[in-house]
Amino acid sequence: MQLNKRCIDILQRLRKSYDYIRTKELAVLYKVTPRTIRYDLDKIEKFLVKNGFEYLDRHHIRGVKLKKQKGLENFINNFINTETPYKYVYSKSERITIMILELLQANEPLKVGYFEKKLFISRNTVLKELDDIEKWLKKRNLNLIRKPRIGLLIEGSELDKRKAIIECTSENISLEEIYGYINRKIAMSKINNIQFELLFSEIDIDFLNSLINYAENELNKKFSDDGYGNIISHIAIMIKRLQLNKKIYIPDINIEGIKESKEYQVSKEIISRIEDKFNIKVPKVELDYIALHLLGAKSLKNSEVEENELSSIVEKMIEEIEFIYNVSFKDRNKIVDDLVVHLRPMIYRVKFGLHQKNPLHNKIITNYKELFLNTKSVARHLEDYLGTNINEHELSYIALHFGAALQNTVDNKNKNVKVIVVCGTGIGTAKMVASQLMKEFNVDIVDTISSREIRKVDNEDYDLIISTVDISEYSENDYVKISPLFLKKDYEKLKKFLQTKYEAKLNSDYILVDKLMKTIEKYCDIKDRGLLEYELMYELKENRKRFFNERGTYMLNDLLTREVIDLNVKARDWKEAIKKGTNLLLKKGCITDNYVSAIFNNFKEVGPYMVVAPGIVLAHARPEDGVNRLSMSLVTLSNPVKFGHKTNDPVNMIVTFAAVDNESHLKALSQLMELLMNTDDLNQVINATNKEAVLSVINKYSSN
Amino acid sequence: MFKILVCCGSGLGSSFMIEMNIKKILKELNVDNVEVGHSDLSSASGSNADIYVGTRDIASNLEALGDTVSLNSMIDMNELREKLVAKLKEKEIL
Repeated sequence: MQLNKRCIDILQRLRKSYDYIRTKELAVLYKVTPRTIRYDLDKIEKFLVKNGFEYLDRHHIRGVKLKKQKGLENFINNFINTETPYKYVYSKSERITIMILELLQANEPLKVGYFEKKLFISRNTVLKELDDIEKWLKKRNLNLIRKPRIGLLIEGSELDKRKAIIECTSENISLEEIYGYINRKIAMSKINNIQFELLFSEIDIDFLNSLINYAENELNKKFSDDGYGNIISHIAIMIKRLQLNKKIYIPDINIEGIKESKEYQVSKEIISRIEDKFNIKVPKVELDYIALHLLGAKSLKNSEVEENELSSIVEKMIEEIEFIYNVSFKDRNKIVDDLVVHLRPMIYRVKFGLHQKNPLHNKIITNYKELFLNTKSVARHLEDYLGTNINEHELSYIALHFGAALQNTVDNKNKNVKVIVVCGTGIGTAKMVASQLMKEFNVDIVDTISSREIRKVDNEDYDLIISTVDISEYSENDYVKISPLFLKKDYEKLKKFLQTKYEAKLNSDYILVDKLMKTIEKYCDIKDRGLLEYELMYELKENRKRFFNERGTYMLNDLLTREVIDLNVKARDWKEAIKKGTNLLLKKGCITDNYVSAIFNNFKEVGPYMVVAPGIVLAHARPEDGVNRLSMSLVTLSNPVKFGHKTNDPVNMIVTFAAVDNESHLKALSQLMELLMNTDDLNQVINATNKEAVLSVINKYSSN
Repeated sequence: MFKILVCCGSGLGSSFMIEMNIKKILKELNVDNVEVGHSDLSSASGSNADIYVGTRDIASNLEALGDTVSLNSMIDMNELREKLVAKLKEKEIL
């Protein structure tokens, strides 16, 4: 179902505040009747629910509110960018970025009206946002000058302006996207298209590309995607600024030894080519900056620099990490080498205050906080050596290396599927992903490389490419793209993918049998390999069956865990009540949408028989209706709803369950039954206001 | 052997719960020559049990198959005991 423009607007409005908005207010705003707005809200609600999100929170006095939900932001963004026939509406922060960039790059003062037209916003909005922009600029030593009838311009030093441009672009465009843009001349999203146009308009990108290739050849190194993106955007910005004929003043940077470096010579050549091509004069100080960038760019290999001192520092850091985590790394030398490769350019960056954003930074400090803090602690060796602090983004890069090394300590054998892992650099993220892959799957990591190197790999060498970035030369079917953090959904995606292709190899019994065979081989001569394998396999299967039976399958508290319990939930009718229960399971991926429809069908066809007792519904369908995992959820309602059952209405508790076969759920179900039959305990659950109370009752019934 | 079959829409949840309770009651009554099972409605028609048990909204479907015990609540032990005992007496098991 498509939403019309007003609906999309309302949805955007709701999502901006995540707070109640009154229907009347909306009616006035859109010059329609409140009734129309209510219809619109119905449509929006239907649309959200259909896509697996919750109902809108509608309150008769306070109005309507959109609840924050996982994945909702992304979903709405995607919808707006791809599905609607209406023009893209920029968010506030996007508008601010665009305005800052335009102002920074403009040759003459810009008028407020220009932004009104360009961004489809009112004069007042522009003025209001200019205040924010002014503050932003002030922090960066830049002043926004507003002159009546002339327009807006930014004052400040050239260096600060460039820093601001780089900061704006790097915040909003990943370097991978720049690389993609250079290759394809199209950005992945609209906002980025505008920024790219600002950044690269009238500049021959292929020419820039050839400059970098020249530098790579001369210096005998290959820049990583990040390094490549940094240099190319630096040069592009430089050319633009010079073309605009800005009065350029950049302080000298006086770096010792920079003139002797090969990078300096290469920069000289680059500059002279640029001067010829664009017919401009490049000030000498720019030369130093380019040289600095070439030195600072992360390269994939470098044979020249001596690294003994650095190696010993890195070894110290690794030793401490080993001590903290009580492990000893297998490929110690390789870890040292990789980290040294990473640190060499990092040291240049730290020394010269070039700030490199780690796009994974926030995720790393939230998901791997302990690792990050430990990294920070061991990095003091490096800081002593450098005589300066290392910023957190750089630290989180280092944390990635340690994380990968730690993951790798888990023993892995019998890897059969040959995988190449690709990320922007082929060093940090890819390594992390690779170690996760080895842990979770039966794979052989052939190599970890940057996306720019992939075309050089012979496709005989691997079975599968797994990448954390888009690979522009390849179609989507040629590789599996996953998130750098290896989230659950990535695991599921890969599992599915590997299972269909390499089912036999994934079977854990085979792996275990293989390991056992190797152990046996060490001490015995095997007469009949095939038969021994077969018998081992048989024993494993039997053992598992016994274990399964002994364990009595699942207990009630194995299934009813905190995350599948929701208390005092509001539901307007029985359908919504059922959905509250199924949504908990849908969210965890335990069931499919089809299972939900099957439950509704059951009600339709057989009647409300699932209202098993006064006030209690046991919502379920058959395993074949779309169950991924044995699961259960429990929801209590703040207001009872009617299901149309003659004796057991109204209902205030919904237990949803999804069985995978006819047996495995029976133990838990019988425990639930015991619970329901004890009036006191049942009341404790129904009246509970916190999950602890419910869980304690559940635990009481969850033993054999 | 005398056979009781408990039925529900899917044959997974409610029917099993009732089956458990019936077994409990039979134990109390020291009846051990009765077999209890559970199934979904559609497979019930192929079976030949002596007594069919179901909650009231599906009991009407069961009546066509044979003697039926219809329950209002599946967790009300007293109701179940009362109705079951009456039926078993009728069938001269007790």
